Amino acid sequence: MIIETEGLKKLYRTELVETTALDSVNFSVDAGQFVSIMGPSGCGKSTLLHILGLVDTPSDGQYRFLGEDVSRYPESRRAAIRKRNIGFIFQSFNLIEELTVYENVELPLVYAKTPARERQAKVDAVLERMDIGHRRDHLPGQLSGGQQQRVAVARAVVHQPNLILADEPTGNLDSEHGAEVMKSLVKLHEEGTSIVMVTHSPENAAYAERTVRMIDGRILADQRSGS
Amino acid sequence: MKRYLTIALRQLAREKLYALLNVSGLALGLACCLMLGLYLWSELTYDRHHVNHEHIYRAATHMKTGDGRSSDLAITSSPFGPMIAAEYPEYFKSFVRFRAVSRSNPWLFRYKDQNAYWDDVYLADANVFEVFTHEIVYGDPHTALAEPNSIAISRRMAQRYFGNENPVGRTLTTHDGRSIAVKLVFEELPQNSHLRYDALLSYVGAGAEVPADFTERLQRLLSFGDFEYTYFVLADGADPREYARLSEAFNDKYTQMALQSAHLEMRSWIEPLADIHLNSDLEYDLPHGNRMYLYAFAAVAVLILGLACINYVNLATARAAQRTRAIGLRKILGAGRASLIAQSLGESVLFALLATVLGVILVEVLLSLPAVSALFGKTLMLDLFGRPLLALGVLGFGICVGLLAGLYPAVYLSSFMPLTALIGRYRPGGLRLREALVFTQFAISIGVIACTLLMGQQMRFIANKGLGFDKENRLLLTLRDRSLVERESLIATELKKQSGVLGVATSLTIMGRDMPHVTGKAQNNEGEMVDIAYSFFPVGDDFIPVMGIEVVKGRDFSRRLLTDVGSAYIVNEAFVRTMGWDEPLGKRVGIGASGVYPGPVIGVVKDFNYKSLRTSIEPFVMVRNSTEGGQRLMVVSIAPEGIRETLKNIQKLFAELDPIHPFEYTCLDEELGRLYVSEERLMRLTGIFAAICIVVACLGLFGLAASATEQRTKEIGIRKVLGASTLAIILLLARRVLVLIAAGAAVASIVAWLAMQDWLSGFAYRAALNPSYLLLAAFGAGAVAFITIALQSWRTAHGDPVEALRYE
Repeated sequence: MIIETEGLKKLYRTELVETTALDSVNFSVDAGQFVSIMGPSGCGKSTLLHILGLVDTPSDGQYRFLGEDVSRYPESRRAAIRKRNIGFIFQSFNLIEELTVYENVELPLVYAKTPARERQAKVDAVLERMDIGHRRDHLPGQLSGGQQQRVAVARAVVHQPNLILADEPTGNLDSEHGAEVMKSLVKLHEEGTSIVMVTHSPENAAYAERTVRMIDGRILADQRSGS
Repeated sequence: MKRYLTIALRQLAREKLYALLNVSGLALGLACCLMLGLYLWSELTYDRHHVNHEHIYRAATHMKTGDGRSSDLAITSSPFGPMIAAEYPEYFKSFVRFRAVSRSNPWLFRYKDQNAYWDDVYLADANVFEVFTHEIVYGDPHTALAEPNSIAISRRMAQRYFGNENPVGRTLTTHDGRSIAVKLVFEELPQNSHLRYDALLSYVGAGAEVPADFTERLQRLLSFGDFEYTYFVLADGADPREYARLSEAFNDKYTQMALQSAHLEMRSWIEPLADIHLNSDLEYDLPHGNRMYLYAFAAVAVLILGLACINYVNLATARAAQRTRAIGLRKILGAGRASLIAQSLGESVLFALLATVLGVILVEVLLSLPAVSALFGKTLMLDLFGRPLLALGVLGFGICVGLLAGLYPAVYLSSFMPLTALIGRYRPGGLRLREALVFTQFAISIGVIACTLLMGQQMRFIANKGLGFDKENRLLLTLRDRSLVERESLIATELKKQSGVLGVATSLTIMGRDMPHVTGKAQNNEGEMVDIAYSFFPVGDDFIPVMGIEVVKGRDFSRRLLTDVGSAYIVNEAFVRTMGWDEPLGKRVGIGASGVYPGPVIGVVKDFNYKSLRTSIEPFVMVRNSTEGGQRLMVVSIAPEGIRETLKNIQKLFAELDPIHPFEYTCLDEELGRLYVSEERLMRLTGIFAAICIVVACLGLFGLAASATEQRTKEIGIRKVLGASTLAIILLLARRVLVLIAAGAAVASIVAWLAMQDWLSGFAYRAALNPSYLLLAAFGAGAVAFITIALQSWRTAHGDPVEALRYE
């Protein structure tokens, strides 16, 4: 099992209000699984994704990643695990504007201290795979939305992570480009990468082999696709 | 490293405005630091080019009269140096004397048809080139001044008369017809030499020798009228502290009895050569620096650089909102804090290096301007290509500035939590720090502006203060030749015939120049002759009416009375007060410790400022001089209309009367103005720095305003939809800054007021400081800040609300 949570809770407190974003969530993902998480706005699906991605910490409960209890790890340890094992794809692409396509994709390998030659080989390979190699020296502002998201996908997979976390990966794309991105994810899944995807779109959710529905911070249903 | 540099350059290209503001501010700060650093270095290294400087000392003299007045003099009597050196040969390795023969009047030297006056001419002992380091161009330094009527001249002087030829062996003629053989040419002395000269005349046969006659020797030991500077080279291993004991023993042996009978005390001490320029504060000294001013300039340099660094910190942290997403993403992708800090520091060092290059260019351009040299009173040079160590130092300094300025933003930017930064929940903090920095910037700027305005008030006070005599439209002409002095009355008569000439008078010296300060005798109310120290002012006919001095009691000198020549005295009110006279007229006054030439007081003049306004009026005595003396100063009062024509007529008259000497004149008011040249310089420099402070502060404010406007665009749009005017929006953005400026002004005003009170304590006559200048500085700075913010935020504040809302 790559992901396992037990009684996961996340509370947001202000001076006047306490909001429960996640309420005792028990969730698990096997290695190589493609899981989609659906639910209305504010149901806690993005919060869950952030905790799974070690970008946020739970208020209570347990989270085991690759068998390791990472629930209370400090940011430095979480960063070390993130950069080795997790790739992120965001709705708004989140490319760094002053870096070229090549440099954006290369970034995870830089932080993982991969030697230069190896970096170059990996980046070239993934750019070709995502059919974006011809734009390697362009800046994000010079690309279309679909191209930017392909670059984001390339960046997410270049370091061959165990897990890809995608938050509304097609949310800012038209249907044609959205379909392209989903095909890329399916291909990754077929190659053995575990994927957890948050989506509003039932069509996109159908690409996954399992769909988890959430509401008000809880898991309502957890179904295999087709069932 | 290459990646950091590439990213920094791209960041620079993306945010051109902020790059420009940051680089400009840092460049200005660095340029100021460099220029002031060069000036400070020059001031702090005076006389260190003399190889022997650590062993060379200048003798100074302390005098105390019977009435308790004391003076510290930079000069000694002429025989003092050779006599004490001969008395203690194991202690003194050698001595060199310089007598300032051109102190009161420039010397004329002639060669064929070339005539020129020279200000810095000294008699010097023959071993001067062994003691002091000179770069010799022509001639033998060991023998150059060994014979009478020899001269060593500067290259500048040599070129004036002889072009590029070797002048050794040629002859110059002095103003009094003597032939002087040129024996040596030396390169111009470095600017940071406290004693600079164009010509050194041989002292041999010109009074250098110690008189054999006891009485004459004693008289000369106690005479300080020759402006003699005496330098000693101490023997190896000699302790400078031993000098006090030796000089006291010397005085005991040679002068003690004479001093005691004259109720005088005298002692000598020595000051290290390298200390003279900044640490010496003696009468009759050469022009020297002011250590307090150096501290002030150093503080200003640090302040301006500090302001520029503050700008950088402010702008970088204000721009943080634009960087949070990228920083959050990098952290999610695994960037460690160290790499983020390194990237941020790389950017700041790049800015600083660009600013260093720009700053160096700016300095080179400014230093080439004559106005800048005039401001500093000397020519400064950067010359980085010729001084590789300095170039490295400047580069290193730039890098340090980049690291210092970039440290806080680097640490701050790298502290963002990844998720909060990425999803935009982050709001740029550090607001209190930025506010504190804006407060500091404007407090400093307002303080410097206020100081400039208050200094200006004092300088105007000095310029306009009635001095008790008329200084406007008074020409000073020097009668160089004895034959002219003897025809003084004829010349005066001819001058008075010229149209435009209102009056002519003569004297040996004039207000603002050196005046002999002596101890003499005066009769007290009980009829006893007692000691009194006073300034001694020999004058000729009509001096008092031509100078507009008021006689409050008695009369002026009369041409008809021969007894008025040399033995009748006019004193000032300060003299009367010091003596406590009930009735001054008829009281007897004598010159010198033994009271020679006793005579009655025939008149009392109203006190007038014959020295700079730094000193209060002290007793002085005027005496009607004879035509003895050799050089005479003629004061010509001219009408304010048609000055050019009047000057032309006077010049023509003098050309007929004295075809040998070139006509020269100065204006009394200009001469008096030169007494305050260091204060004027300080005021001008402070004014310039005030302007630079404000510019740097406003550069930062411009950037902050741009950032604030950007961050609040949506809020601005909503307010405009709800009916806010453009002015209301601008005031909204400017309000906080104006409050900070007001607070800064309050602090700055107190500091400036105290600083100016301290500066004014150096003047005996001071303007009453006007507090409205503090308000003016505060309002001025506030207005400039408001305009800066308004200029930046005008477009957003004035535009359609929908544009602001659409931005989101």
